[in-house]
Amino acid sequence: MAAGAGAVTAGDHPATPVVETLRLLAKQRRRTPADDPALARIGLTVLPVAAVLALAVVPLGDTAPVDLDVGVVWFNAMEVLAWFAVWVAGWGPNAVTSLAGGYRMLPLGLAYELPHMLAIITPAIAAGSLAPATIAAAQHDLWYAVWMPAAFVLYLVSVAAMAFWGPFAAPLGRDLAGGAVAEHAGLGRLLLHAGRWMLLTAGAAMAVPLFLGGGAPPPITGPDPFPGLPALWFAVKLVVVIGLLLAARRVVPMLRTARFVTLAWTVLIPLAVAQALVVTVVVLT
Amino acid sequence: MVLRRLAARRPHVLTIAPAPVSPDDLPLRLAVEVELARRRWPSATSPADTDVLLVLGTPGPRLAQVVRAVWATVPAPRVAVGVTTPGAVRSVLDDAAARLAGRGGDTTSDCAVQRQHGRTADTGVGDRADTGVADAQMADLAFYDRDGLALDAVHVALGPVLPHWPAGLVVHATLAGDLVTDARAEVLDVPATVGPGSRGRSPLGPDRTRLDILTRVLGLLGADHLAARARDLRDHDPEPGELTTFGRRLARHRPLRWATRDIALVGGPVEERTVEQRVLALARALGGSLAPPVRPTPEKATQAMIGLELGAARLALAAMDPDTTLGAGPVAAYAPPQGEVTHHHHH
Repeated sequence: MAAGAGAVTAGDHPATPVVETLRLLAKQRRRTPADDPALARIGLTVLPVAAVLALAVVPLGDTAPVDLDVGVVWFNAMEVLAWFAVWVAGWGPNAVTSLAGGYRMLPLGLAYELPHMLAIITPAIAAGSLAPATIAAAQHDLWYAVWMPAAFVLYLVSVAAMAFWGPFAAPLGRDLAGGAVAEHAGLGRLLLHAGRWMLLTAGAAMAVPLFLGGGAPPPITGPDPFPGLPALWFAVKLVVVIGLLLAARRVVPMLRTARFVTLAWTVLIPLAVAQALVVTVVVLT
Repeated sequence: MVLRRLAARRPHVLTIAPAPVSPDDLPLRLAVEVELARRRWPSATSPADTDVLLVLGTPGPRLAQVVRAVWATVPAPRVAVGVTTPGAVRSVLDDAAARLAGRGGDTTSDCAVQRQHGRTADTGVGDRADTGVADAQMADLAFYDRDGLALDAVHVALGPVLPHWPAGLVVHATLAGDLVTDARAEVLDVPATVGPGSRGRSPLGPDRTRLDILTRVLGLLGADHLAARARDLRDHDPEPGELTTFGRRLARHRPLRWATRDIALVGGPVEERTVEQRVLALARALGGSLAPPVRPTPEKATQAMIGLELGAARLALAAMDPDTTLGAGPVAAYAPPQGEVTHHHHH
């Protein structure tokens, strides 16, 4: 529930997410002239559902709730649903700001998805597996965040973009009066904001098995001070990753999608390809 | 009821202000912004996000029409209040919070509100045209966007109820996708004046005018920490050193420069040629006892939006900060053509 804090800004009271959630739950829903409520509802529902389905294959400690051999592929497929969800949620109300906001999700996706796929496939190449738990186990003496830092950074950037958050919040931009969410009130608004936070959390959670050794203690600490508590190590690492993502918002203002597409295709994608190439060559030799 | 009181602790406030023609309008807007910041009540991004509708000053007939249209689309629970003097801001907001929490307000009005709300789906296009959330009404004219694609044109009135938007301004725009292909300015209830007007003279003084512009640009960019700092410096008497420090911090902020890059200000509305240069110039001049920044007429500023993507156009408008006291328009709202459809063909 605390995930529903759409309008939380820095320096707010810790109870703010709860207050915001209650506020949205108490709020009446609303419609716009000549809208398509079914379409909007599909989009608003798909977003949190996709986030939960993505989170289901992440090993929260040792084992994932659903242990899939191709967990990495499943995770990626679920995130892509977010494109559709935001696009459709913005289309439904039949209003200019909302439609323009929904459409911003498409260039955003074109910019972040390729670096993102390369960033998640790089640890999979190194570990020789598409199962997140196996990838995490392959890092017992060196975290992939250290061995492939560019992939790790690209992953964090693309997770923020996937959750259209912080510098990548253009689909919900204030310049469009809230963009895709501009016309949604009450439960619909709550679903979109909550879905976005859940997506950010799912992305941050996947960083732990892919790059930070999963539920294992850091390789440098020697004997594990908390043996048998992989969930604890997982939680600590998750908090650190979320902290990094939250800090990014303070540093970088919202980027227009044109700016981010330029950045992605001139810097991020070449960097991601180079990183994947280096890892592949090292693994093959 | 406990839950409702808790939910009302952080109401989102939508402020609607007339163009600051009367000398009381500007101090009132500043007093409201100071008080909202002190209470940490966020400003609503759209009518759907609104709990408290706060009308500043005395709206003229056209703006009053907009207020009614916006109010009809605000979902319950909701409260509408008006404030006309800076001294009354606190008590008005206290009263709004109490009514929102269900204390002191009569419950019957809530029922009336809900019945009224049930009808909002029926409000026609004309009613909504000025709210900034007008319907995506497709005209049959084809326009060519930057890739040479023929797109349907959407005629939409942007403003006056948009975040960080000049008070009272409506931009009658034609959009091809998210590209502004035509734009005409209108200041509600303030027709265009002939003569020099008050160009460049804000009663705020040079540095506070700069900070006021920067607050809006930074707010639009979602740089909330910097925007809050700019507003703080604007509203409290800062040391000259503080101003230059903040100005230098902004000028050195690479992500900020990168985010504002590549937006041309065509037609010379201000001295600077791009939004990036304009923001840099505003930041660098802080605390330097220089002449106030040039604020263009609404017409010139609106002309400069043509050819820009909607987000870039919004940033450009906020950075130019047209002086709405100069007036503009009136402009007849777009009416869909009857009868035969004309097509522009690309050669």
